[in-house]
Amino acid sequence: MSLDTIVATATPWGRGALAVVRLSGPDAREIARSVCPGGPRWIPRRASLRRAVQADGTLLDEVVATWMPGPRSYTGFDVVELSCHGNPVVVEALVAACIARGARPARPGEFTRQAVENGRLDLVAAESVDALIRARSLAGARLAAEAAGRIEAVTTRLRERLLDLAAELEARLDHPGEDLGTWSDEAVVAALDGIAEECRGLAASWHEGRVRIEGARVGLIGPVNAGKSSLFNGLVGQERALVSDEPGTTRDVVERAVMLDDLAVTFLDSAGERPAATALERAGQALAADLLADVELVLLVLAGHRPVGALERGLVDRLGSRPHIVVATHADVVRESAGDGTGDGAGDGAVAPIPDDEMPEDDPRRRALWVSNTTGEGIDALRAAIRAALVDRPAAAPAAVLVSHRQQGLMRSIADCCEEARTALTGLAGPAVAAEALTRALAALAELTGEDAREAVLDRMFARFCIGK
Amino acid sequence: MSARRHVVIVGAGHAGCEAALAAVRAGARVTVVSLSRRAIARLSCNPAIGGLAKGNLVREIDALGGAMARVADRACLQFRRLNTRKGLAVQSSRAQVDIDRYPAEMAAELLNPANAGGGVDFVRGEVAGLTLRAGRVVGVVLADDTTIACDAAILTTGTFLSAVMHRGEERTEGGRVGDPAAHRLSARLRALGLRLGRLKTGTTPRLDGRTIAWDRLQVQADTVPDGHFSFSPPTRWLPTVDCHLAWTDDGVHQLIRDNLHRAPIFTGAIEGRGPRYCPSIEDKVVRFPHRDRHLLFLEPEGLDTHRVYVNGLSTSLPAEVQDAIIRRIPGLEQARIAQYGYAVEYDFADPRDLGHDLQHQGIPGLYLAGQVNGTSGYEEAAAQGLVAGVSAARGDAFVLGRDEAYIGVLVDDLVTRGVGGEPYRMFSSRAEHRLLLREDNADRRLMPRARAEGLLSDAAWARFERKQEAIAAAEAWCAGASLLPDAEGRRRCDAAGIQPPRNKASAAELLKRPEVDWDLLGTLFDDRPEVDAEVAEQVVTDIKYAGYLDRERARAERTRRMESVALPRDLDYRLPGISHEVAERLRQARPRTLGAAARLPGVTPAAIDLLAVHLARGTAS
Repeated sequence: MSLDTIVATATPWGRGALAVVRLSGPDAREIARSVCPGGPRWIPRRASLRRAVQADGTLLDEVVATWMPGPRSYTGFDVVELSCHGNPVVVEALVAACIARGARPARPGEFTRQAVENGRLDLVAAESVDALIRARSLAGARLAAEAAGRIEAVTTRLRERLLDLAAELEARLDHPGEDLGTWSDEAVVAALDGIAEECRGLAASWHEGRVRIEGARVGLIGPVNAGKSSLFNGLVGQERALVSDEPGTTRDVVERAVMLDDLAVTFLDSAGERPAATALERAGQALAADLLADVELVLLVLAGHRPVGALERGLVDRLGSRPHIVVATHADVVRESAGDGTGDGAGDGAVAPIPDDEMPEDDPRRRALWVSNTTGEGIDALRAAIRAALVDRPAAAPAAVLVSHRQQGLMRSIADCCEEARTALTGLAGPAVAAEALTRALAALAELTGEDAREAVLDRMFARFCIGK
Repeated sequence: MSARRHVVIVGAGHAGCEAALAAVRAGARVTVVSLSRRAIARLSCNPAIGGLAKGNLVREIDALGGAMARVADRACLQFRRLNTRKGLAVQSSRAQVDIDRYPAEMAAELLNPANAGGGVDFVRGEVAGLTLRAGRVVGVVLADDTTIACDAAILTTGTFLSAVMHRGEERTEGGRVGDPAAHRLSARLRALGLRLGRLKTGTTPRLDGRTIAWDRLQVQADTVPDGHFSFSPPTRWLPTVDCHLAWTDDGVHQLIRDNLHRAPIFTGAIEGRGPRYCPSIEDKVVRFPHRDRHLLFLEPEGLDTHRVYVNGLSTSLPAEVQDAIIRRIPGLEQARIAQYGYAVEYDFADPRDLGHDLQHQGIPGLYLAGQVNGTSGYEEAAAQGLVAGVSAARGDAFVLGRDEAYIGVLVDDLVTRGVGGEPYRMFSSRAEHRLLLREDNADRRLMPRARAEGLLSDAAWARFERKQEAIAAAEAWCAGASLLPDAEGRRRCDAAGIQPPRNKASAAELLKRPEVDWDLLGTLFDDRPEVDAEVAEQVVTDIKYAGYLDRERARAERTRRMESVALPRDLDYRLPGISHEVAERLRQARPRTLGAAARLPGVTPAAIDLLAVHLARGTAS
């Protein structure tokens, strides 16, 4: 474990100008000295040119070595970074030379784990590092870079408030009549509600954090011939230069990733012909089921120029309360047949060619965004609507955006505990039970920052990291 | 020498008395050495027993066969229940007691020849030192150089080690007005290698009740007639006496601020730290500058004295300033001070040197209990006395778990964490399992154990068994009796003023509703058994709070498992994943079990997990 000295390549696999091999642990300096014998004196944090040799003393490569003594290093241990030439053969031999002298291959994320265990980083900061590495857009990277500081500010304030409340409850329990407590009952309950609400808001922010960092998946569903595939091409087509194709899956779904302003968005479209369904509702459900499983947002694409039927209504039912946008196609066709030739509409498309009151009450197109795949009308407006649906929070923005599912779960626990405390306080169980709930809330907060990070938590977290970080 | 162990108790205060009585119950021959019979169980500060968390200690002492509760009941002038509206677990009792009758009743218990083995031998004298043979205590040396041979000695010397009293610029040697300090013993203990520290505490002025304008003061409400501590109720009560309330005001606060330069705690004359939870009035004025008044309780000291204790006005300001303060307090303008308040500074022995039996780890046979260990309060002292008394009598540790008793929390806190710079007082917040450690169930928690260890009288045990049977019968009835949602059921619910149940509901299910109590069950069911209030309380608590109690018991069980994992004394703690800081703390404290390690400040639960894994691997390999 971390009393070992670990080694790994810190740069990606493959040929390049440079590669970095990183050593960390109590023996990092000794191992580096042995791999690079002789040369200039080792001076902390100063790069020096050295000759790296193999176990038999033969020259391996000329490297630039930098020694960062612990505890003021990334991991808290002595760290040595060896920059060699970026040939996988050389890199492998260099790592092997380090292992031959007593280092052990690092596991994923183990450098950062050492940093956490040595108190150089808290868990939130480590997760931010992970998020920064994984971020698929500049905006995501920025969010990740800011996350640690923002979340720390939020958790520090939360801890203060929880401690104040706990102290208040304890004072009431242990010193009644001495009016040491300074809060009214209403104030305590309001404070608990406030914390619960803030934590719920923070928990909800993981949705935005994930979308910004990992990008979002947007699925198109709708009956055959509604213009779904044309819309898909319209949405991804103009960004072709940025499109990265991913192979279609067995589900026969086509995925294209594009940048929507600063968001990485992957659109998913079910390709291929669908057989004419006899039981229309069942077909609609089957169609939707696959896509709905793992997307952040659904575009329900309906033909604007045909009446809606059982299939469409089945799809709407299927969507339920999931985030979705109803898109009606063929805006140009509808307008023309209505004899309304005035709107060229391309670019804004906000004008529905059929007024809402001319459609039946239950026609899902009453709340649709209208587009035309032929003229391009409404596509930009749809892009803006997609972006807004993915990242714009309706309520006041939380003070921080969470960057991991773990953080979300703990924020929810804190909110739950505060609600439990409130129930106890205003009900039968009383302040001793409430105080116990606050103790659990504080424990969850400690787990969030890693003051109370169990082995299992660390294992789960760092397993997702890349090796060398 | 007889097979019975001989235990010598040094001191006859609250720790000493309970230690002596416990040692007698546990089968030892007991000698108590004290300066005089007048020193037995003196109430040097408040004329009161109990209070929050302390009341729980008193009930636990009773459940373990100790004397404090029944003595308090016999001397009780007024009984109150605190926190009665605060839900589960935090209710406590407090009794005003007669300052003369309490010690007299305790002396009667202590010197009663009807006690097992003919009671205790009482020796008048000052203890000057200990005799050791091969590192073990074998005798207690008196100031006149006589030695009393013993198997174990329990030091319960209170605040008397190198004690100095302060009032304004005056310094007097002694641990209580009129009583000398113990210097020789202090020096001797230091020479034996005990780590001594210094603490401070204070007391309030006493007034002459005849000079107080009682009709201008408010009477303190909420007394409980016939209230009592002991699980065996007293047969007679003293007449009830009221306490009154008074308040300081801005004028008083200004007067104090003007004289802070004459207060020993601010001039630096006192080096020991005082308790934050029981601050002197000068402390309160400085620390809470925005408070325009502080509450004072005027507590009568007894039926045969006019003296009145001014709770809340602890001070060591000079006498003339104390006079001026009292005269500024509405209702006390004419009051005369019968005894001035003072602060006392004294040596205490670091309890981290003791084991869970309160025996010194380096000097077998030497036990320490009470204020000498840095605690505050009669109840904390008595509780330690009981633990030390049983342990010393048996030569075997009598340990209560933190999930069994406040006494267990007290002893464990003292020996693993120490007192942390101020006298240690029990609070409910110190007990992580306080939902289980209630005043009302102290007998159910502790009496079976006390009986098994031979500490509980036949009469108390018989009473307890009857109570247990009544509880079991009533709980069985609650589970079996049911109310139907028919016309009759609805009529009864109407009469009781509750919503009728939708389906058939048992009495237990109905009892889980916040608005239903034992009395209401009598309206709902004709056959509700008639039981004592204390039985009904147990039944209602068991059923109403079952969810919380089950969760708490599960938590206690987890903790208990950690308590059973011993940590090797030579463990290095330099383990992967444990930070240098945490490892250093563990190396310094050398906790005996994983549970004790978990309770050390600054040791994270994560580190405990790692330790557990490490130990498990160690035993596996």
